[in-house]
Amino acid sequence: MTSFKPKFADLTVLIVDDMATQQTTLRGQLTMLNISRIDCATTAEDALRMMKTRNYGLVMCDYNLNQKSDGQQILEFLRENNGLGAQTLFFMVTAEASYASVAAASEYKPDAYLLKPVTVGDIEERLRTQIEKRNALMPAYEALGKHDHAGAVAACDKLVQAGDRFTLGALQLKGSSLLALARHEDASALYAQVLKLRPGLIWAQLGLAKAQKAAGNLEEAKALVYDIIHSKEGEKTVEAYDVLAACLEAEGDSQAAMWALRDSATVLPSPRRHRMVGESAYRNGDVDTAKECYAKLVKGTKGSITAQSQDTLMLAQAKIDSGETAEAIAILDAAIPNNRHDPQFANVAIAIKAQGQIKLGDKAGAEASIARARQNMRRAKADFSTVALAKAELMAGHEEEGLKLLSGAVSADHENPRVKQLIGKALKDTGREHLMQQVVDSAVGGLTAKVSDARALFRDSKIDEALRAIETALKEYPENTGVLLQAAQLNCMALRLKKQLNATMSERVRSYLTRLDNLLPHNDRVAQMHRYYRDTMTLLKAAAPTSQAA
Amino acid sequence: MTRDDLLPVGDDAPGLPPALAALAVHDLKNALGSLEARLEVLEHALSHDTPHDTPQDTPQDTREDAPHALARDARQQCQQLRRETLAFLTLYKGEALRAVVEDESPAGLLHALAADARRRGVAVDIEVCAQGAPPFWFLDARLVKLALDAALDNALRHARRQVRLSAATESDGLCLTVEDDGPGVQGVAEPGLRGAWQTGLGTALCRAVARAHVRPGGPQGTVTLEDRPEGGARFRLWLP
Repeated sequence: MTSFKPKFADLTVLIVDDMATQQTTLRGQLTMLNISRIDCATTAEDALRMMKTRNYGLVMCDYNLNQKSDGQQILEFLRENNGLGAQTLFFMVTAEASYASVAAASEYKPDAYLLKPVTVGDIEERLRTQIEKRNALMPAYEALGKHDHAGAVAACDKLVQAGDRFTLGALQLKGSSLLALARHEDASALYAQVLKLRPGLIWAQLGLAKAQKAAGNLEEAKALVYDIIHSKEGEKTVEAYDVLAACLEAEGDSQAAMWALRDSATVLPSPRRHRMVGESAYRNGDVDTAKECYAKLVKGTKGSITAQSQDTLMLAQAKIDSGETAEAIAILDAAIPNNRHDPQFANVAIAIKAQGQIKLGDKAGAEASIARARQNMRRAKADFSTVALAKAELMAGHEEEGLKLLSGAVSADHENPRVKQLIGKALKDTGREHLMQQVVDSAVGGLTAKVSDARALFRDSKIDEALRAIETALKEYPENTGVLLQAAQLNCMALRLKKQLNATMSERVRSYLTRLDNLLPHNDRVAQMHRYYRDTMTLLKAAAPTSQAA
Repeated sequence: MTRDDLLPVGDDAPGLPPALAALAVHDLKNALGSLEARLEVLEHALSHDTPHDTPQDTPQDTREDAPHALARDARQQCQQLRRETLAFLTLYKGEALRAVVEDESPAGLLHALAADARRRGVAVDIEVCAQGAPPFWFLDARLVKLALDAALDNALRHARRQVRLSAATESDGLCLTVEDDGPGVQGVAEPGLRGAWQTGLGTALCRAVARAHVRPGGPQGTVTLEDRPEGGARFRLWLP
């Protein structure tokens, strides 16, 4: 092998370290690698601000920043908020002693760990390897950036065929793309092949479990997950607990699912994990656990980049539900001025406050609050804020308004079981458990009828009428993912039938897909629809009059 | 790992409890590390921006007491101390070593090792031969580097003209070899030489690293140090 030496000179680097001496040392070492464009940040906030204004090829971040936020939290924040492009490498600098625990229990892995004391040789070697790897996998990453999972699979296949250094990386990427395409059997076969190569490899075991879960083989998936979390290498794999929780939830045991998430938060007590537990506990009516989680979150993330205002709202809601009304109102009153920049926060806070005012017997105050919250609620969504206002309406005796909001929330995303759980809880808390079916029927009844009408028209070859019908349904339920998916599909089918590239129609499908991406990020059905649209366009382009296609 | 691998600092040793001792040594190692990094930058600054990866630096001032030469000596000494402390620490953490394996390139590993050694400034030629190596192998790069570093250090001390690093598939495993053309194992078995290898620390470390690599349900890694028929010593680290 001839040693491959990419030029580092055009690399822009951000060093994140709170120690001035360490900053100077790293800067000096990078200079030795001919890197001259180097910025330094001392805090997480500085680092994030600088990353917004400049594109860095490499971020070298110290794990221990001696502040509210550590290096792992910066990485989590960046990954969760799409703050790290495919072009940016993230290296975590850790002391040997913390490396083992940090590396074993983290959901978001950096591109490389550099163990202190860092030498020039270490930096050069890791940089070279990671740049080579990134370049090799770039075609697959680019396809993924366009939601083109099939393209990613094809790109990975090329790499696997070459059988070189990055075969495993390509197989890993291919596996997750196959899962995204809902090709569970192919994914299972791939992971089995990798496990034959190296028994016990955690990511392959986890992939196999996910494939089994997705295929509906819950028992097999659970057995695989238990194998992982009972092994020495895999005991800290929090994602395995997520698969377990998803299996349990699919079996209808959401209580057990919550406990699986609780276990994962014990393994990795990160804000994200506590949030998952709190959210699940609240939905399941375990208000005490929810309260405990959100109290911990609000206290623990104060002043850190991991803080989220939603935690305060959830804490207040959990406190109202468990009778700590005055305390909840005090929390909201204190938080509203601090979140002035976020109007949505005040709306939800006021809706929750109204619930508290009713509990305290302040009818006039509650009515005023509800009136304010209503004013700002533009349209019912499948989310916590809609349910919070609906609950206030129901508690104040405005049954019609409350139920209307709840059925609006159901129709916004009627296939989302979690929203239904939230709604069920709101009805139960207000003594209207028996109205659940009515809420669902009033939301979905009209909707399903409209969608099946459109489909019937399409079957009768009344294509333009069918498209108009689905468009009307969509105007009524603009955020319903089911209708959006149907609309995208009908338009694609129409394009295929008419066998011509129609700019208006393809533009329409693209806008539906964009809305779906926002409503259901990382969703299998949405990914499949992206693929169906791309295949449609490929077909039409191939059949265009200029081509010689038969 | 069995107790035989350990130097006599057992539970009944007087003084600090082992866990506390390990912490103290850990701090020491980190202090040496940051000192070394600063000396590295100082040496570079003093050597008139000579490209860092030139095997033999040819600075203008060749006197042994020239500032950059002094900085280099200080850095090398510091590095040696740090590496020995790290080897010591790795062995005496109080728990068995566990390899966290990932797919790594054996060739890349050897090239990096050689580049690091050249950067330190060595008098002999280091050859890397990785034609027979698989494109990737499952190993703990950090531990394997630690072991090979100790072996390479030993080889460099005894080599006359050349040290050879190689990687190849062997008996369903990966064999990493460090060879030198020095006096061989028998030739340096006399006590009195300093360095990690001679105190037994290097050997113990390599053995522990090898044993930490286990294929699930299969064999452990092994280490051998032997004389070459053509003269010189050959260190072999075999990983399942």
